[in-house]
Amino acid sequence: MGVISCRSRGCVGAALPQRWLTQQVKSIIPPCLPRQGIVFIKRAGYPVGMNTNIEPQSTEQIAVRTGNWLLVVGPRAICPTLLALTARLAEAGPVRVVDGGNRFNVYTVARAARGRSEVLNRITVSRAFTCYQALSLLESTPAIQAPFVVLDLLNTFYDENVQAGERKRLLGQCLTNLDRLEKESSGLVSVHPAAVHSQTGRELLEMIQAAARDSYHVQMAAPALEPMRLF
Amino acid sequence: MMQTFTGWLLDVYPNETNLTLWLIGEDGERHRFVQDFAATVYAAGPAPHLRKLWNWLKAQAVPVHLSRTERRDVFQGTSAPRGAETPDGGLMPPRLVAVLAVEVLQPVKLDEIFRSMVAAFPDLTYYDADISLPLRYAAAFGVFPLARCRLEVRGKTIVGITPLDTPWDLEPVPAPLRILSLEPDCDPAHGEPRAIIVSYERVRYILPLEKSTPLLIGLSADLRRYDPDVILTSWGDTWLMPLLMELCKESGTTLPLNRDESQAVVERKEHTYFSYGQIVYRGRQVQLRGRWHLDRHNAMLWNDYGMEGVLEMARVTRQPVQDAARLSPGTGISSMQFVTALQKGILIPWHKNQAETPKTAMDLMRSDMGGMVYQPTVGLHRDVGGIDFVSMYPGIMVRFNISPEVPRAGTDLEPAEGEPGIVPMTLAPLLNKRLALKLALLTLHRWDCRRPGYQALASAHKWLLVTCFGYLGYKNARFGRIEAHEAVTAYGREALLRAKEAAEDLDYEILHMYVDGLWVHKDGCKTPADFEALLADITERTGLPISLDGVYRWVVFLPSRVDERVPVANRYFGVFQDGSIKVRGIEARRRDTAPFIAETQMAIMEILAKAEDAEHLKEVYPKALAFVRREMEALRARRVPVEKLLVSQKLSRELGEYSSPSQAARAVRQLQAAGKVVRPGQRVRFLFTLGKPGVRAWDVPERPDPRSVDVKRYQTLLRRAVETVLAPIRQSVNGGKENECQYRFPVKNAEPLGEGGTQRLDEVSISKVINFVNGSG
Amino acid sequence: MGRTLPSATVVFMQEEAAFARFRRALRRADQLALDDLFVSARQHLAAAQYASHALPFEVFLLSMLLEEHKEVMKLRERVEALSTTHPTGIPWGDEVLTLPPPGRTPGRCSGTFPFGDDVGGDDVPSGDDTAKSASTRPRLVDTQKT
Repeated sequence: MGVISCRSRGCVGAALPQRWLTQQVKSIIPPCLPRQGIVFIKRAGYPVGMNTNIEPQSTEQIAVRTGNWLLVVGPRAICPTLLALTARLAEAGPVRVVDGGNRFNVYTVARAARGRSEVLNRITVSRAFTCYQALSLLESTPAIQAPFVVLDLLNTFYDENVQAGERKRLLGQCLTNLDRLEKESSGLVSVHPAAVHSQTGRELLEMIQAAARDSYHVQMAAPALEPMRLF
Repeated sequence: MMQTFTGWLLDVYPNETNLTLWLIGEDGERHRFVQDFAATVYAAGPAPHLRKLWNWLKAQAVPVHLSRTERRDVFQGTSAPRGAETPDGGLMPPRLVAVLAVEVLQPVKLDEIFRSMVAAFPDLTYYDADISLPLRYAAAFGVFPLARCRLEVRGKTIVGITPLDTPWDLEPVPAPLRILSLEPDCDPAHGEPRAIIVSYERVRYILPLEKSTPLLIGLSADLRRYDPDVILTSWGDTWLMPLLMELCKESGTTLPLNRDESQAVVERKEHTYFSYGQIVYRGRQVQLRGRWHLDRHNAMLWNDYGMEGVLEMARVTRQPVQDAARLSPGTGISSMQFVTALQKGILIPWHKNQAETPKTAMDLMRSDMGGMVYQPTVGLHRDVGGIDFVSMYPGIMVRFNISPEVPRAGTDLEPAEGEPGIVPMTLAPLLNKRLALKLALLTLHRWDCRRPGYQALASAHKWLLVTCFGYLGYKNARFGRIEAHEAVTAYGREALLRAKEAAEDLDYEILHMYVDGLWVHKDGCKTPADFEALLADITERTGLPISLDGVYRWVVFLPSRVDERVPVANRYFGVFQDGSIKVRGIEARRRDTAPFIAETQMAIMEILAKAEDAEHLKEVYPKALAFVRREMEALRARRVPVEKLLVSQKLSRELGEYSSPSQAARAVRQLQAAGKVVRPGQRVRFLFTLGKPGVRAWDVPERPDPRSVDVKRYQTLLRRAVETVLAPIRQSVNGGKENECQYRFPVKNAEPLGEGGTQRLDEVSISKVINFVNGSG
Repeated sequence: MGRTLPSATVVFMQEEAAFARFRRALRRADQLALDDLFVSARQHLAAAQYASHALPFEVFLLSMLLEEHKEVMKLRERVEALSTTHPTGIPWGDEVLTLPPPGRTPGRCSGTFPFGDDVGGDDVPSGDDTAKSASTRPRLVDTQKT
């Protein structure tokens, strides 16, 4: 596991376990940067089922740079991590969340914030259930100095009810709005691949990857959590 | 020369130049007319873009009439400050938007011109774009399918049309419909039909399929001679009509299926698509022009309310009858809202852009909830009152003015200020009619011949009202908004909690609560009149009408199948004082249960229902046991018809996606081997059989061997279903203490009981309801 | 549609699953006792949902405590009932059995599950019947009015 750390002027380093990296990762954070707009989160690995003897503790630290929106591509299982990230961000100040995939489980965020209502009250969230709504939400998010988190942006764009050309047009406008927002604050955008593969889905993913300056692809190292029993 | 004409509206559709209308005349004849009609689409955006659009439209081949105007978009901000005065001292109406009005003079060209408009100018905002022509017509003239109208005509052209009744009349003058029925002699999914059975009025005969020419000639003659208004088929959409059309093509002849033979029969192909994580399947359809084709097996909820219900749906939603039969209640509600908006001059957005207003995480936690669903006191209870709010969510929407464009009221149960929103305006007459119908049904004699008709109407209304709440939160609903949806549930929770407090203040024990209903018990309260004071108090505290569903002689709340200590919200059965049975959540109510098991379970309950009260259960219990033993024996001796053992399950995904195939999947594989196609979302019927694969699909050509049925498995299923019902009764019968699972803190109550009345409770509540909806209560 | 938050039932199961390791390491008998605690929390899921508490497990704990308290009250009443009906059969002295009333006089109660075996036997004399009218129940100090 490679670690870079820098303690001067209170800046933070970034470290990613080797197996989490793919060729898409552009650069590890340069050693010195102002604190504002940077956050890191620590993620503990979950124990694998009931029959392991060892508990792997893999840590992952993601940094969000000022003046940039960061793209995170990965399976849906990374959502709890992102929600914990949101809680951490909210400890420092207001956070705007646009939820494009019905992912914002407040309880996960609350747990990460240890139940403190002042933290939870600093997070404003709005949910989009269609791609038109997703664009509308991004358009109405003001460009101010508060970080923004867009969860599962592409989810509403996978709906085949809307024509492919129309979806691409709308996504293009979303990307324009992200650029508008990043002038004032930093942000994170997460996308997950579609459940049902399609040509248009792939093209949309490529569009957004091309527009992002920094992107992280996350692969799950540990198998998924044991599925929940339903009574 | 002008003439007047009276008749019932049958069909409206576009022709080459304007609209064609068919009416059933009072003279008994069927008449075809035409009428000029312009369909208008609106566009909004920056003035230079609108100018470009104007010029572009002028250059198109499709004749349009263009103008600039202002109309209300209830979702937009105002063009003038709210409350600002006009020069003559009046107030500015809020939310006016400057729009370009595009009147398409040939309605048939509407879709085409709109599509090219959007392709050329994708960034403009469009309104009133995808509203169907029949709906536009209905809104413009206040008519609806089967409306009785008076027309002013010049020759065959309608100059004016006035409705003589409304969709809300309880007993409109019925139209003399002529219905011709066509059905194959067996289910085409199961076997090979050999003939078509034709019937109308007193005629009934069979047309063999192998002789296609005489069949087509005979059918053709009947269609011309009898000239039906409705062709009612079985499997018409999926099998019969396509077959007839195929036969026509092969033989080169035509069938006069359409009354209007200048038009082609409308065919819609089947379609499966992926939308928001679900696979949606829409089957093929065949619709006619000038008459209606209704397919019993492809009509939503036909089993629930039959033809009467379908006609009522069409009247109330203003959708053409063929659509009303096939489309969901959600589309019905949407159509009603469109008509209201068109009539009030409110713009209907083409796309729903409205997104949720940001809320804090804490607020999201508090508002993202549904109705309150309690954990019942498990066990058998006696003399239980079941009380329910009357159409709670629609009632809340109307009473408290909850609509996407109306700003939220405060947190207490207060109506939102201002004029009524689109949603309450649309729902109020429907709610009124439902209540009037409910009252009428209460007063009708049990054997009154109007009952079944009224019940069909009531069923149609119920489905619409049940859907309108879900529709309020639906992402694609033009007039839907998640905040409004959440407001409704918030009001609902508050109302339920106040009802609970009212009951507890009056010393009732709360046995169970579920979204809009409560089950309460109080020693000494056995008759409806005993509950009147409680109902009055609840209405007082909540502002909503509530009624007594009935008093149960006894009711059993069942625990979880997996763990007996865990209560489950929606599994119970009970007997009312009048002997009727109410059942929820057990095998008899589940769609996948084999009919034999469901019927046995219901039969047991009917035997138990004969006990006059809970004390007499001991006497009927042995009879129930004896019945079960006989049925079990019949099963073992293979005397149960195989059809009654069919299990019906839904296929949830494509076959390839199963890691280990479910029972339904294995049955579907057999169907596929036989050449039948089953799509995800469709149901498949099968039997449990001995050996591998353990299931045997039903709809394959060969009949299964009755000896291959896995009797032991069915016995287990039967035993389980029987235990569900008998176990709690047995416990009571054996002297066990029912209703005693948990320790209850004794509660002191200082309030005296209210006075009881002697009027029939339901009537009193319902008339209060009607008063409240009419604004006088 | 539109529901983002998991329901109380789902949250409950997640919280229960989070203690799977703790449960595993317990003795079997203790596991069953723990299961009882979770079952008792299930009796009040509707109220837990309505509470909209940021940390739902706190509400579940409170529910468990609520049920435990009811159980304690039930046992207390039974013991007192036993002490009054069988004064001589008890080997330990009266003073242990005359518990000071906790501000209330005992009412009717029982605690058998409807479908399982009676937990701890049922020797409350028969003839107790829930269907008795409220007037035979003594009026008590109200503890539940909000």
